[in-house]
Amino acid sequence: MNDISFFRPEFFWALSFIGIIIILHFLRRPKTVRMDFSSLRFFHNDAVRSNRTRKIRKILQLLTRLSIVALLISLFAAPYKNNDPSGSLHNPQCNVYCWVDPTMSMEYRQDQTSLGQKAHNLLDSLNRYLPASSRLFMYDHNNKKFNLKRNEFEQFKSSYKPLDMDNLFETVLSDIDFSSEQSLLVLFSDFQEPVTDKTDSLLKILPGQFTAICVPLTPHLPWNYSLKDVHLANEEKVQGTVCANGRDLAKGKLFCEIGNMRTETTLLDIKKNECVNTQLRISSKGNLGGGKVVLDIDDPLQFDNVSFFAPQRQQNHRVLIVGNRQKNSVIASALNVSDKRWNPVVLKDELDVTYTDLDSADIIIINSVSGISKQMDAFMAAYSGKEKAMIYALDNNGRTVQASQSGNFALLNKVFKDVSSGKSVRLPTPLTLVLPDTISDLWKGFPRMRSEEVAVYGYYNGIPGETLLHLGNGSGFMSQIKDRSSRNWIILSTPVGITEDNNLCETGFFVPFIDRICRYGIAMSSRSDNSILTGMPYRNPFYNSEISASVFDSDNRLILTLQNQSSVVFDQPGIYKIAPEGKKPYYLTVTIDPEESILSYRSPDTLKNSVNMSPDKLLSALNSRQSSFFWFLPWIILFCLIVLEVLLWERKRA
Amino acid sequence: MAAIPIFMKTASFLKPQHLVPIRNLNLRAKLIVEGMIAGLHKSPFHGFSSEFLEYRHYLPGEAASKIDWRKFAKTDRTMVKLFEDETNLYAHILIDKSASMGFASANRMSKFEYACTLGASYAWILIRQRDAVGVASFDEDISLFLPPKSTNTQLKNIIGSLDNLKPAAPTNFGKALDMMARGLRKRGLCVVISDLFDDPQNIIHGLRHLRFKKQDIIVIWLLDPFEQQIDKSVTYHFHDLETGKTVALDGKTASSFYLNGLNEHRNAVKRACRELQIDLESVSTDEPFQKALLRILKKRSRLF
Repeated sequence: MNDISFFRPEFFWALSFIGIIIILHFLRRPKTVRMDFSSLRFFHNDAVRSNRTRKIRKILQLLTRLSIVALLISLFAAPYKNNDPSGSLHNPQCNVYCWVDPTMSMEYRQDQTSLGQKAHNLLDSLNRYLPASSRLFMYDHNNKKFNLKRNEFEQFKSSYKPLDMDNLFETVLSDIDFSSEQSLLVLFSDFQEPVTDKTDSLLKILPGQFTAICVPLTPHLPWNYSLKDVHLANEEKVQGTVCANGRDLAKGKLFCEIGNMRTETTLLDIKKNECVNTQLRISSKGNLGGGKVVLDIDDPLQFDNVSFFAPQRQQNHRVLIVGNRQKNSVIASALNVSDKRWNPVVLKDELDVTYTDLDSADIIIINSVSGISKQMDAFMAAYSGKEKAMIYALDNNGRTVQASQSGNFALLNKVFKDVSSGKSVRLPTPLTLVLPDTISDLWKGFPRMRSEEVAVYGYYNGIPGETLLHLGNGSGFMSQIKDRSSRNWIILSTPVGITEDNNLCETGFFVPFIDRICRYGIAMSSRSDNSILTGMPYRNPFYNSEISASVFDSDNRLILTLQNQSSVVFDQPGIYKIAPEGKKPYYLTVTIDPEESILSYRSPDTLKNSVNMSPDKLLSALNSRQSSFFWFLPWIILFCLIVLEVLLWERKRA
Repeated sequence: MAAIPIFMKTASFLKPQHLVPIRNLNLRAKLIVEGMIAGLHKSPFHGFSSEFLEYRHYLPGEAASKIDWRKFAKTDRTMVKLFEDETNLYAHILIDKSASMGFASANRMSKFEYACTLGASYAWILIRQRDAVGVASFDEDISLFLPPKSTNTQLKNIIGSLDNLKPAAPTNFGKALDMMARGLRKRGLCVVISDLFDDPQNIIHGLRHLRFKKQDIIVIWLLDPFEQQIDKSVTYHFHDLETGKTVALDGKTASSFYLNGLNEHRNAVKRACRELQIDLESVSTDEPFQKALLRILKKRSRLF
């Protein structure tokens, strides 16, 4: 019975009628008379049995009447199952909060209607069939709040932004009253894997007794042709990958457009669930501002049939050096002289560094720090991306290791666990550096494998990860490791810059070494400099540089100016021209998240605190409450009780 | 002697409850009979008693004293003179005095009292017509028997005997009537006043025996009003006056079963009475005596 609640429990006051019935029953009970009677010859055993039967019948009649009254009261109180949120849809006081997945994958067209539109149609039905006094709220993705749904037809508008359920989480937690049983969250989505994962997270943080309805609009036998990884292979060719998911692709027309000019068209035949790399010729005479490749074929999901490309450009990388500014100044100098791309190079003390500094940097070098500041720890706790190169030089006396492992800000514990197994080593005789090779991308161009001029006096023995550079005794000098959050780290076993532990900064090895590890770090990071996603924050490359840049769209309209914003967001896919003051303009391609075109779905069946209802099931639940056995059952019982009551009536014999 | 209430004089029929305060059965009978219309009961034998009937031939072996010598003298033939009996009717009033007859509901007169009053009144009427009346009371057995006589002393004896009776013991209608029948020699009238709470076969057996003895029989089936209509709105704890058994029943069950049983019983007795040419009269103890008596007397007038 714990599973059953009532919409109008106030009706249970009427249960006092049961008391009245009981009182009346006893008041109407006949009085008993003792009597000397002439003859009992006509009262044989049948009479006694009949009398007993009559008594039982009377008790049954009382129970039946009580049951009828109780049942009627229960029906008026409108019962529903706690674990069946569809019942809540009929609650006259219910507030229904609806969220429609706004991502591009909801543009998948099936039967000439997009999934998003289907969701809106369902919402209209929901609005129509809900009890008049209940209210339907719809999540407004722009204002990030639930608005009362108007009684008018609404067209589905997808968003180019990637899935962002964090705001939904916050709004749900703030707007919905979980303490009452009169709130219901309904999620309409195709339930691609990321959506299901995030929904799972959302439902887990909701209170235990709260149940949401998931309405999966997952297409049946989904198929899609997609174009991805389009980029310039060289000055004459653009390269891309075409995939045929779920169906064969026959005579798919692929062409490239630069400006308004179509350069080359090719026909493609691809087998089901295969991808083909293809190249299209372009004639890039003069300045190439980028273009787009179009897969001209009819498929359910159209947005991924267009992909943009733009010429690669050399881009500045912001370097942040955290630690003792005096000691680290040589590192900044080395970067400034080595390559112009390391610009700007910012020196910050570990206590002065801000979250924005850390967040906006492409390369973070942590060197000669006396400990891990709160800002750094908070940043490391929050940051889970792979776009940054992280270089961390350990102190040979173990202070940084100790500091990193202590307190609540145990950075290194978050990074890797086995550093504590190492120890500080101080050498009377210095060690040289030994390169593993001089041909790999990392060490290509270095004259010798052993750098005799470098002398290392102290180091931290036992750095973890894949060793990239050795000391003369075979110990690791530099290694590469991934932490548990899959962030890439380059670990140095001794400080670089001005230090007693080595003379690195006094040697000719220092500048190319610093330059090379920064390049290596950038290469390790998975950031793409000139392709960004719609709706995702794009780090302003001119932040703190006192340079401003104008951003123009493909129609050469100025859409914004990059000044001192840490990041900007592009809402529309396309090619954007960035024109910094006094510098040559370059181009950015803004694309829709390619994950949206991956037709990989996961049913929300198994999610905790949720009920999976197909659109048909939802509609039938809305249309006919009577379809549910739970709704029928009390009426059947009531009918049976009334029949029983009638059968128990005493008929007057003629 | 208790004073006679005024309403008794003015009432056309005296209701039994009016007679309850009058303990004297003689007075009760007198009040009832004198209140009735005189001469209503016209005896078909009146004026013929002790009268000559016919002559017949003397049969050898008969007492010579029976020969009418005057007739012999005139006709020279030995003839015997036959006369009507000295009395019109030999009537026996049989009153059931079993324990069940002691039942009375709602301060009414008990069936036994009613039976005695009714019997005494009828005896009064008969004796006034110079009919011979005897009384018997029975339960399992014959407990009182007064042979029929037509004298005024007989009426006193009857009333006196009935006054001393008390209802007790179970009924054995068949056995009692059997014994009664065995003692009867002459044809006559038997008025049986009983509640007939016995096995129908038993009752029929007794009546059949009486009928065999050439008795005209009037059965007065005496019932209390409660016995004809049990109140359904009450739950009863019945205690059987004859057997001492108890049973608890609600009014509806009791009424239903009792009435069914009573109807079956009545039908069986009625059927037997019709076959045996017995008059069966149902009388309720709340019925005025005169009314009941008139019904019986009318039956008698039809009979002759």
